[in-house]
Amino acid sequence: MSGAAARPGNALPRWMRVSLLVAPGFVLVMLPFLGAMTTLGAYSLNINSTDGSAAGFHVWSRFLGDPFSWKVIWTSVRIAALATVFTLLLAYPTAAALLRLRNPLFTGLAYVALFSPLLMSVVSRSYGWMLLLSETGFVNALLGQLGLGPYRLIFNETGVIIAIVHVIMPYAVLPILNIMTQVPGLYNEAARDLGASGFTLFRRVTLPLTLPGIVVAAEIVFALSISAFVTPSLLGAGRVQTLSQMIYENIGLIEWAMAAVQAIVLLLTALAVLFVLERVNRSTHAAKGD
Amino acid sequence: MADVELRNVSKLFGAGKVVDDIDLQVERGEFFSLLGPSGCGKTTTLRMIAGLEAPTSGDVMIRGQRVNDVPIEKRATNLVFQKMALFPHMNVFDNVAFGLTIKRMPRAEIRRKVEAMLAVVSLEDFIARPVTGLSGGQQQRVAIARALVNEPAVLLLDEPLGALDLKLQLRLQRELRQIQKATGTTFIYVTHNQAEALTMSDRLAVMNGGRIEQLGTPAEMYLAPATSFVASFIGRTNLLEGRIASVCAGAARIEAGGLSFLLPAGGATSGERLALSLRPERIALVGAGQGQTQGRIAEVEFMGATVLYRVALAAGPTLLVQALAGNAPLAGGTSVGLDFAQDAAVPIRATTVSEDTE
Repeated sequence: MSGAAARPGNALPRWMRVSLLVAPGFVLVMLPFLGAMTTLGAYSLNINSTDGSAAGFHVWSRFLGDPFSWKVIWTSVRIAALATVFTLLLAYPTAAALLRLRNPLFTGLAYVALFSPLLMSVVSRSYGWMLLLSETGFVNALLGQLGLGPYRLIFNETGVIIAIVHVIMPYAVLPILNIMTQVPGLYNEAARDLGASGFTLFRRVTLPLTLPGIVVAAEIVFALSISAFVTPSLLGAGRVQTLSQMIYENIGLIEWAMAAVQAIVLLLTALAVLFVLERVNRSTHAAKGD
Repeated sequence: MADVELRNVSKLFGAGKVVDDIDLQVERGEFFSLLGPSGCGKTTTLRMIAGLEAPTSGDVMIRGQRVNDVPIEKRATNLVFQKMALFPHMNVFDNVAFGLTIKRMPRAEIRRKVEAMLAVVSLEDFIARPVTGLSGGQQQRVAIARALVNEPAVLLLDEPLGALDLKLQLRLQRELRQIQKATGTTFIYVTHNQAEALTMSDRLAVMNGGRIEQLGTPAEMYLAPATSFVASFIGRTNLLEGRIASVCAGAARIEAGGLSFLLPAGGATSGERLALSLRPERIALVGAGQGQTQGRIAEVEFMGATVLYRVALAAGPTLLVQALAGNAPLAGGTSVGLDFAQDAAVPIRATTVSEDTE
């Protein structure tokens, strides 16, 4: 029961039907990507150099040989990783709460609140955070009332991470909520019937069963965080150096080759982390035996 | 002492009374079934014993202790669900060991108990297998082992065989009964399958509309149904409206649907109306012109060993008659005589409305 013959009335062979389905997406996403990657690769090797210098790996070795580059790569990874962790810590209970809302009105309001960051432009959102987090801003005023602070919450990594977490939350809530709706409450009832409750129940049953959703959320959120540009620029104000900002600066300086090298490094860094996360996901599936 | 006792237990969901003032005692070591159509309140009753639902009023007692306020994880009961509720991220061993690890039992003891329990359900070779690769019957056996390994006072089973094919159902029915005998655990078994309840139970309660219609042994239920609902829900029967024509020397002559029966009067008086249940297998097909009454076969339902005939009587009603198939079932349209003993029918004292006599 496989192949085109099994389905009467389908004239096209299976491979052709699949190709037709995938074609629009492929043309829109993969062709520009492949084109861009080829161009970036060429630029990074200084092949179409404008200043007459020779083609080769010398821009690569200049970048990788500079300790500052490694510091920036580390900063980028650290900010993205911390933003991912904090986002997951917020998104998981949020998804659990959304799942438990019975009243459709509250569910609607909760979704509006959740997606509100995406409705604002990144610039106004970032300036909003600058107002809130500045030394005389709302947050420090509130902390002052409690006898705390004032703390430096902007022009450092703290502010960058807060602002990134704010906007990437919905991307994390959705996959987690999705898996939570797929895991039947029956497992919960069975675990409680067998004596599990509280944190044990969460650690032994709920968490492992929802882990695939958490990993997907982590992948999306990490990819978005590490490539964030406007938020770190505005809330870091040059004091927080990330790869995406260096790329932008080098484009401004017409240092095409260096910008290309950094763009490729950024991509490879993100891919490496996604690869590790995907391995985690695989190993949880392997434990399930499928 | 009763292992489980329900005292005036009711459960309301919104305005609907799902369980309506139930009193019930299940003795230690008993295989007890709650039988009824879907929506009769049997599963809700089971979930109240398990601790998954709280009764709106009344008391749930387990081994003499009132457990209304004891949460599910602290109750001496364990559940086997209808749907496969095995943890998909654990293998067979980890599933069965789950309850024991929660109790922080030493590793070696857990290992020993799990192995012994898997031997009881004949799955000792599957100990390291992922549960997702098991068949439905194997999964349900793991679920039974996972519950029983905790040595619960009461094992609660919510239609555990409902999702399996018929052949497997029959095999697991026997196995479950053997496991119950071997472990001596009290079983409370919820099912809508009357054949299952009859063959497995020591005693059973037939539920309808949130109430218990009748409580007793399978034989009592079948041979002396207390209500017309029980008579028609357990097995097939012919329900007849009758009238006591005369009472003489402790025996009542009852006329019902043009048929005549002679039953112990038991205090009934002449002229009283009552319902009778006449089982299809208590009627014999004889040659036309012979027997108690005459009819014509309207429908033939071939069932293998037996044949179920719908016989339209000249006197009015249509009766179900069950006969051994023999070499050749009779064809529709055949004129037949029907014969039955004078005391073949059973009087039903409490009459409830029944929708269908099958």
